[in-house]
Amino acid sequence: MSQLGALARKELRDILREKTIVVALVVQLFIAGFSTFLAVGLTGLYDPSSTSARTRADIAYVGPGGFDGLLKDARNLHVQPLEASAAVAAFQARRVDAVVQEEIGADGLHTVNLLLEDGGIPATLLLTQMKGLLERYEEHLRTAEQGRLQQQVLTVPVPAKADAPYAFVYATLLPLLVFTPVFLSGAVAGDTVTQEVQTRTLVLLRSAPLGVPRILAGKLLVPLLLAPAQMLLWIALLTLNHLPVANLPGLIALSLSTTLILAGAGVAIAAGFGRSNTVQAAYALVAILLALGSLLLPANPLNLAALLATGAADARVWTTLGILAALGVVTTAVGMGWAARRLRMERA
Amino acid sequence: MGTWAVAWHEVRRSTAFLNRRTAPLLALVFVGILLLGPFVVSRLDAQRGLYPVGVAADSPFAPVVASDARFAALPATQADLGGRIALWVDTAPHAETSARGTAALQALRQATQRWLDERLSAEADQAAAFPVLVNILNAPQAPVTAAASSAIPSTATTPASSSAGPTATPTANPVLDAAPPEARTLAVKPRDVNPPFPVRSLLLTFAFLIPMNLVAQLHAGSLLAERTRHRTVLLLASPLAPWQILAGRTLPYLGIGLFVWLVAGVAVGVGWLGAIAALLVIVFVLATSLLLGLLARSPRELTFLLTGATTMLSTFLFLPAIFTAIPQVAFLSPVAVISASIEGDSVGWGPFLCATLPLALVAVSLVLLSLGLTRDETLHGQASLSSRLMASLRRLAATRRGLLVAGILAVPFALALQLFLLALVIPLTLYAAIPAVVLGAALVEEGLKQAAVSAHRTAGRPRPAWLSGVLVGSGFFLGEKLALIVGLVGFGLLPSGQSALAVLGGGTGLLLIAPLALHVVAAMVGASGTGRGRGWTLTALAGAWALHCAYNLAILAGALA
Repeated sequence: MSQLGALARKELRDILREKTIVVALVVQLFIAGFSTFLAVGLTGLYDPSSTSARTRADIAYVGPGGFDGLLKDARNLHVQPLEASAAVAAFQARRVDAVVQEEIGADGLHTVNLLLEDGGIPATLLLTQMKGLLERYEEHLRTAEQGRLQQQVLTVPVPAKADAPYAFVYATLLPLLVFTPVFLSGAVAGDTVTQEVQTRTLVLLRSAPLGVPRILAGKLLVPLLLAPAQMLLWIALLTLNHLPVANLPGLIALSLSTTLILAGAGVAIAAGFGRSNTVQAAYALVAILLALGSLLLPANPLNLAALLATGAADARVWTTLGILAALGVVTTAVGMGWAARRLRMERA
Repeated sequence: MGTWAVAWHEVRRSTAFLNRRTAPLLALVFVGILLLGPFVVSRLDAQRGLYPVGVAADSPFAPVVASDARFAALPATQADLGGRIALWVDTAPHAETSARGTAALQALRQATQRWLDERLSAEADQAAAFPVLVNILNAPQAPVTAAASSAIPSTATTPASSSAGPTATPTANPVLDAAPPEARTLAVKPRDVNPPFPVRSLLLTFAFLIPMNLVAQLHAGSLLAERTRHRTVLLLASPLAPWQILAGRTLPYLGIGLFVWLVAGVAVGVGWLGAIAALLVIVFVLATSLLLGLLARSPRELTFLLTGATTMLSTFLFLPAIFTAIPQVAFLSPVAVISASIEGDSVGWGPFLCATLPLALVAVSLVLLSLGLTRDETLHGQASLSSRLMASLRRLAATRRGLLVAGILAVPFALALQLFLLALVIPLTLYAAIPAVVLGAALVEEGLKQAAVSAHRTAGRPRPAWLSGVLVGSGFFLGEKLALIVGLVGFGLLPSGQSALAVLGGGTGLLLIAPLALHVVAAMVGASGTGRGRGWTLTALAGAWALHCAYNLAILAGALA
C-alpha cells in the first residue's frame, strides 16, 4: 500500500511541478467567469425584472392615458405627457430618451408606438424594461375583458427580484463546474500512461516491486481524487456567495463515478494508441460519444447534478447514480485490465 | 519541394495507427456520434424536475404545471411548503420564501404565459385575447455635444434621415413618421418584444469549432510525439528552413481544416464574408496548436494547455457575439460575422475588419513565435514554458526592426487580454469593475512591452534601455493607431488604453502626442530594469505601471470633468 502511495505522490509531484493544475483551475475560473458574465448579461437583457442597474430615463407619453400609469410606477422613469409632434421634437433634440404613444382602436385594441434610439446600450436596457411593463399591461387589460373570452385568464404575480439566477446557478453553472474537472481528470489519466509509453520509462517503473495493475492504479489515484477536490473547491466558493449546495455526498459520488468511467476509458485508449499521437483526439471523441450516450440515462448527468445540488433528488436520480457507479467500476476494471495486458506485451 | 516531402511524411506517419483493429473502432465512434447526436440532444435538459410542486386537485393551474418539464408534481399538501415542495398551487400559486420559491414562481409565470398564449390564439375575439400590440420605431437623436461626450460613439447615422424618410408614406402620426420605414418593427405582441437573438446561428458556428478542436489535438499531439522521440533533430539537420519544416508539418491538418470549412460552410449555408471569417478561425486554431505542440513538455501539459487555449478562444469568440443588439460589442468577434452571414444579414467592411484583423494579427504572432522555437535546444529542452517562450521572443526581437514589429504585434494581445480581464471582472459590481479594468489594462500593456524589451536587451550584446523603450513604445503606439483607424466603428468601447478613447474624443495636437509620449516614457522606465535580475525587472515594471495608471486616471478625470 505504501508503494502505491509513493507512486501516487510521484504523479502528484509531476502535476504540481508542471503547474498544469494551475492551468486547469484557470480554465475552470474562466468557465465560471464566462458563465457569470452570461448570467448577468443575458438575464439582464432578456429578463427585465432581474436587471439591477437600470438607467434613469426621460419618457414622453402621448395618448389618452392608461399605460402611463405603469410607466409612472417604475422608479427610474420620469414621465411627462406631451403632444405628438412636441414629443418627437424633444426626442430628436435628445431632451427625452424615448417616446411612448398609445392609441386605442374601436375594438379595444391598444397600439403602443415605442420610439427609441437605435443600437445603444441604454436603448436596449429601456426596451427590455418596456417589455416587462407591456406584458403586465396586457395581463391587466385581458383580465378586464374576461367577459369577451372563452378561456379563463390565469395570472401569476411578478415575483420579487431574486438575488441570483437560481436555475442558471444550479442547472448550468454547477453542472459545468462538476464535469469540467471530470473531463480533464480522464484526459490526465490517459496522458500519464501515454507519457510513460512514449518516453519508454515504463521499463524503469517495472523494475520497482509493483505489478503492472498496481502501477496503473497508482497513476489513476491522483486524477481520481483531483476531480472531486476541484468540485469541492467550487462548491465552497458558491457557499461563500450564499448559494447553498445540498447533498454533498451524492455530488461526490457522481463526480467519482463519472471520473472512473472517463479515466478507465482514457487509460484503455492510451494503452491501445500509446505509440501514436492520436490519444488525445481519440479520448475527446470517446468522451463526446459517452456524453451523448449519457443522455439516454433516466436522468442525464447535468440534470443529475442539478437535482442533487438543489435537494430535489428522487428515485430516478438515485437509480441513475447507481447505474453510473456500476459503469464506473466496470469501465475502470476493464480498461485497466486491457491496459495491463497491452503494457506487458509492450515490454516483451 | 522540401515542404511537400515533410507533409507527405506527416500524412504517412499520422495515418500509421489506422490498422484493421483501430479503423473500425474509430468508424464506430464517428457513426455513433452522428447517429446519437440529433436524437439525444433533444434530451439535453438540465432543468427537468428542478421545482417540486404540489397541486390541488381542482387547481386551474394543473394543466400549466403538467405542460412544463421543469416542474415535478409531487403528492403533497400546503403543509409541505418550504420543505418537500417549493410551490403550492390551488386557485393561485403560493411560493416558499426562498431563492428556490422565487425561481419557481418566475418559472410558473413564464409557463402560464406560454400556455395561455397558445389557448388564446384560438379565441374568436383576438382584440380581447391580445389587447396590446407594439410598434418598435428606431430613429437617430441629435449627437451628444462634445462637452458631454460619452465614451461610446454611436454608430454613424446620416443626419438627413432625422426627419421623415422621403419614401415614407405620411401617416399623419409624427411619432410613426419619425422613424424611416426600414427601422420600424410593427404589430409585435409584448411577449415578442425581444432584441433579436440568433441562438441558432450562434450554435451553428460550433460546426466549425468542434471538428477543429479535434484537428488541433491531432496536430499538436503529432508535433509533441516527434519531439519526445527527438525525431525533429533529423529534419533540423537537413537543408530545410524552419518555416519549411513547420509548413510541412501543418499542411495535412490545414487540408483537414479546409475540408471541415467546406463541408460545414455548405451545411450551415454561410455567405462569403462569413466564410472568410470562418477560415480565419480555422487558421487561428491551427496556429495555436502549432505553438502549443512545440511548447508542451508532456502529453499531460499539452492537454491542459490545449483545453485552456480552446476555452479562452471560445470565450473570446462567443462572449462579444452574444450582444447582437449592440454592434460595437458584437463585432469584436468573427463569430458575429459568421452568425450574421448565416442569418443572411449584410456586414459592412468596417465591422468585418474590426472582427477579423486582431485575430489575424495574433495568428501571425503565434506562427512567428513557433518559428522562433524551431531550434534543437528550444524544441528538445525541458526548460520552463516561459523561459522557452522568452528564448523564441529573443530571436524575433533581436534586431531594432524586430523590436518595433514586436511592439505593434503586442497590441492585439493586449486587446485580447483586456477583453478577458473585462469578462472576469464584470460580475463584480460596476464600482469594483471599473478600477480593476483601469489598473489591469495598464498592467497588461506595460507587461507586454517590458517582455519585448527584455527579450531584445538579452538577445546579444547589451543595448541601451532608452532606445529599446523608444522602439517598443513607438511600435505599440503605431499598433494602437492602426487598431483605431481600422476599428473607428466600434473600438471606442474597448478599454484599449484610455489614450485611444482620448484621441477618439478630442484629437487636438497635445492629445495626439500624449499617448505616444506615454508609451515611450513608460516603456523606457520598464526597460531600465531589464537584464539586471528579477528584482530590478519587477521594480521597473511597477514604475511603468504606476505611470500608466496615473495617465489613465488623468485622462478619465479629464473626460468626466
